[in-house]
Amino acid sequence: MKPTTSVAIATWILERLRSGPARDALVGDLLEQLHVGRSPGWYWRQTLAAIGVTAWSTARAWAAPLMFSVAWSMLYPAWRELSRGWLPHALPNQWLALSWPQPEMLELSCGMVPALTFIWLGYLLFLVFRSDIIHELSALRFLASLSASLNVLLLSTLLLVHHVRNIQPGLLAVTREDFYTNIHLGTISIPVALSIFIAIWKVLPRSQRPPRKRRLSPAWIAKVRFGRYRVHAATQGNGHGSWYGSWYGIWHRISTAPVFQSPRLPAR
Amino acid sequence: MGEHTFLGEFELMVLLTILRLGEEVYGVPLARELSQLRGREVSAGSIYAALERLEAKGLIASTLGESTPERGGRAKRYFHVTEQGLRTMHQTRRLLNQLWKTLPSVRGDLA
Repeated sequence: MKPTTSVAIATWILERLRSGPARDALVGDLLEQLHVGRSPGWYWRQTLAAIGVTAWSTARAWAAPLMFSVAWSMLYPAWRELSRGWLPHALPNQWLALSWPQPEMLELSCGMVPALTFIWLGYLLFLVFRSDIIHELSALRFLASLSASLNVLLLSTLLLVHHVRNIQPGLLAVTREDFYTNIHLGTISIPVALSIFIAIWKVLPRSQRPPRKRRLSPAWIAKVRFGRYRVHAATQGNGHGSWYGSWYGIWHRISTAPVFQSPRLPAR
Repeated sequence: MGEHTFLGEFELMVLLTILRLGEEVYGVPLARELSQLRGREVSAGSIYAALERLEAKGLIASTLGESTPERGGRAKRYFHVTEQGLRTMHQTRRLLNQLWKTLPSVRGDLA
């Protein structure tokens, strides 16, 4: 394998596995040091170390939410016992006489409300102890996290209904006290734990989340279309220098192309 | 937030090195200086992880600089210590000094 190919592969891996706002600067620093005489082996070591550091900090950031979700979900049977008197657990008989789809929707609600109340209570409890998250939390993100946990619970409910159809067909199964503990790991209710974890994950700072896979970046498109054109000053003061800079580069190149320049009037 | 921010050993070293190197410093000279001070190579990944933590705490700030062909077109990120960063460093220094002063026997042994 050629050294340049080896470096390109390492860069590609680093860009995909390293999250955080300074990723491009880190890659640039490594390439700069490679340019002044460092070996591809050194470049690979630095790449793997950077990925390892990211993986470790991500794991540390995720450990607390994951452990809390698991521990909280283990309390779910106790919550069902405690909430028996004041949360809906079963559908009154007179409601069953209603026409479709009202009884089905009400059954679903009766089954999900105690679980959802428990999940959101745990989620709020977690936030109370994480002032660093609350400090950065917007109302929109908070609502999105609640919505995500609801969606996960709803999806889990539908899967569970399918799973227990041989024992109790129909949505009436949702109102059973042991419904959400049908898929479990020991005493851990997987749907409940997953729902809490997703809610917490949605409000974690972005630097603590794994990097998302990107589509073709504007930087790459610009490189293909306009060669190795680079922009300097346009990248000042924002967190997406290479993206913004590349688009600025395209605009700058188009706007300064001779075809768009006003023809000069002949001097009188 | 700053009043309750505590600095780890490596974070404090990074902050001090930024101050030592001047007003604006980016990753390459920072890594070189830290490696020299510690007597062994410090990975760029761990430096940037510390820098991101410090920036998230508001102790340093960064601006994007120029991009060069040898950097593959990636812009440099220049870091500087903020006012809050300076205050936190002084608090950490005071705290460490107080702790050392409470250990007369150890101080004598190490001296």
